[in-house]
Amino acid sequence: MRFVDEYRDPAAARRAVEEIGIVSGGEHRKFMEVCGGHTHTIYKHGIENVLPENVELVHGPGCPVCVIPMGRVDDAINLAEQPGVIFTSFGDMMRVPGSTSNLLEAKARGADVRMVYSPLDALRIAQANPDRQVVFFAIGFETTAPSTAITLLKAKEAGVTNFSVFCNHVTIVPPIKAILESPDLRLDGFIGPGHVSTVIGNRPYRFLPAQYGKPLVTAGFEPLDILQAILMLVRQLRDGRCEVENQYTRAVRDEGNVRALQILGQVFELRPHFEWRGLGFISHSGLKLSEAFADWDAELRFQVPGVRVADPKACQCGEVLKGVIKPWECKVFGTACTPETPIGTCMVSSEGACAAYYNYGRFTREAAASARIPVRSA
Amino acid sequence: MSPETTDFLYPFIEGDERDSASLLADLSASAEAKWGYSERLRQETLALCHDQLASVSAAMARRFEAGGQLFAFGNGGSATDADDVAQVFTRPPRGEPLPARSLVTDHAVLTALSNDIGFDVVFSRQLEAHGGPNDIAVGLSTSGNSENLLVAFRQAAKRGMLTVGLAGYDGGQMGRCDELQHCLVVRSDSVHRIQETQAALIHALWSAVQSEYQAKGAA
Amino acid sequence: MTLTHADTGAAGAGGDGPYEHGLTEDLARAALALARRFHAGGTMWCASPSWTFHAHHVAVEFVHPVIMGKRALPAVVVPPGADLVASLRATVRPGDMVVVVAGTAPSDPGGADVAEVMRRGPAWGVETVWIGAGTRPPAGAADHVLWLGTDDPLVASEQFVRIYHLLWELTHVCFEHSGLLQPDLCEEEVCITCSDEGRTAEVVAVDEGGDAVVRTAEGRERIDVSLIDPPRPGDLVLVHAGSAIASLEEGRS
Repeated sequence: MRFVDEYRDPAAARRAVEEIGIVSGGEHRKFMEVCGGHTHTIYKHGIENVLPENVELVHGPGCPVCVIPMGRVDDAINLAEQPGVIFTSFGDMMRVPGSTSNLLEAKARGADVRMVYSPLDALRIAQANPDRQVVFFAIGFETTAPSTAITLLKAKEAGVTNFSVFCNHVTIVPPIKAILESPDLRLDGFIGPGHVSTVIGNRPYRFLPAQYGKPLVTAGFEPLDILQAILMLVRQLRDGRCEVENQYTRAVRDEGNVRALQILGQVFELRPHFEWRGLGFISHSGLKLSEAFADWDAELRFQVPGVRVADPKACQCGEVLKGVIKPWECKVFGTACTPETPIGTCMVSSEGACAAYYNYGRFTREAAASARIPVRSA
Repeated sequence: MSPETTDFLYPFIEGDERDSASLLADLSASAEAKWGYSERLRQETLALCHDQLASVSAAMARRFEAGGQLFAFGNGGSATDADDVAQVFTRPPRGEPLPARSLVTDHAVLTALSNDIGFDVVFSRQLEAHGGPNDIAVGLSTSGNSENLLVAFRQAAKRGMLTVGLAGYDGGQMGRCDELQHCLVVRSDSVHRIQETQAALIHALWSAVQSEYQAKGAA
Repeated sequence: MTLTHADTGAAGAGGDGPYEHGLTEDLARAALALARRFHAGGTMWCASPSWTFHAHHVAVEFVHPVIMGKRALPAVVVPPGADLVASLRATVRPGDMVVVVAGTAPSDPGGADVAEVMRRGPAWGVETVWIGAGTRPPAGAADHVLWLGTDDPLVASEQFVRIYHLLWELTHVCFEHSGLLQPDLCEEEVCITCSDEGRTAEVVAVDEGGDAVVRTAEGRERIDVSLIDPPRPGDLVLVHAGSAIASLEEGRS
């Protein structure tokens, strides 16, 4: 169990919680944190338990592992099992279920699947194994896409031809728009993703206040950052303002990382549409390699089945991702679907709402049910 | 015998405790109580020492007016208090800077004296070198029994210096030392709480000297 | 549990006396954090740009306990007069602690250096404790901010002694609860690879090829820095998937 006392600068956290209570004035407020990193922090530090009861958090689609559709995982496994291929992936993708298997099982069957921390590591593997084909399983939002882009620039510059990228990069703004279009959800505002925003800046969120009348505050990843962002949101609502604000000023500039954005523009282009687990096809939400980098595109270099697989019926990841239901309200949560044997992707990644809730939530829910946890012993 | 029955006797061997909440609450309550006790001790001591502070500060002001300087010394935490004395007199937050030095800052002198003669003389030998009849010796101790302070007070008295001591408990040997003209005692038996109130006494003394010195200067 | 000013007899009237709301809870939390770090072999570095004697007092409390039977703990004073950031950068190791007694700039001229040290805490892997008075540093400036409301430098100085004495006393109480000194049980692997992870790193050296050697709480590593303006040694950057995606220096004066 964690208390506000365990946050960085607990005194400041206590002040923020008290002020959220005063400023929100008992009014029911429902905010969505878009980013999986935030979801993780919220569960790990029990933020929901220190907030006043009238402030509710719902968890958004911002875990890149959780939103990858099953068909793309099947494609990845297919690539990994092609002869002569070294398939490289971030660790979190290893257990994500495809329709019949996952990458870890493919590795056990003999495929050369290797975990990397950076796409640059994958490129180094390619340089060290010139007689093998090295494929990097690129996933992630605008935070991660620049690292993939830099890697591709370096591969091109160094003339590394045995390296390619299976690109599944997605962008964060289209699903936010899709969620706002969904009729079954009422939200008062958004906690904007911090590290995505270091790249894209705060400007792309302007449509939220302008078109949907919803405020957004970009936040860092300390529990204190999230509390401050919530405070900024309730202040906006109290003052009748509706703006894009930046809590994470130590890292996020309004204009973003201009250099990274230029490189993204050079290496990638938008796909007409891309499938999101649970959310279906969302237009202009995915990236593929641009014409200039077609030679490094794994989807062009190899035969990829590209079969669309329907989400498992029992799994309600889509509703969880849209914030329509809480993780524990899913029919299979904690029974058929656990982190050891996940059905839905939300249970796989540690940033997935279901896994985060499963790991930390049982505690906090019991405690929250028995008594509201006092912010300080008074 | 179940393990719990002996827990109260040996709380420190309890290795399976996992929930920090109750410990944190205990710590916080303990800190509250100690803070409150420290604050009461400060107020009581300042009240008890009121007249003494007035006479000591007047005597100190006379020495400064005569061109004297202050030497402060102590051991361990009290050595840092000696530095505090030197700092507040020479770099005061308000009023006029007055000449003061700590005798614990020169490691060459401290190690030379300790090595060649003994630790008992580390302050007295420095007073022998620097101290004159207009000067002030301020020695700080919690026990009141530090030998090198007692030796230093004797040397200071011999040189005609004004001698001022800060001690705890019942004053210890400092309280019974003939060569020590003024001994301000913090009546507690906790080293920490004594030092906390001694810090307040240092500042009260400085403040009173400032008033005395300024009043005299204006007259 | 929390006493009011009247109960404690603390100086100052109403709610804005020197004795701050919640200070003892913060002390308790800081003490437990320090006990955990000492238990794991960490060293405490003590500094006070404007009150060197406080730094010495903190260190001597921990190294040479006044109470018989208490452990001597590794605490060191950062040499006064040294460049605080450079001095600590050279000596601290991941797992250490930095305890500083200082106000904030501009009222305490050393406050700016202290803020720089605290900002680097995550990259150096150290637990930071900032004891001070007057204008409070921005929220989150250190892991533990033990703050007094008073503007009187002498009142503050006296109460600093109480704060670090209590910190020492409470730290030793924590040693009697060995079960609570273990690393957090629920510390489960965070997705370090793919999603929105970002670690604070301090640049050690920059290569010509757009790479840099950086220092993080996990040790040294080589990262790509071509996505940001060329950093200088000592700059803080945010690392994600092997690349620096943002500089944490821009917009700082």
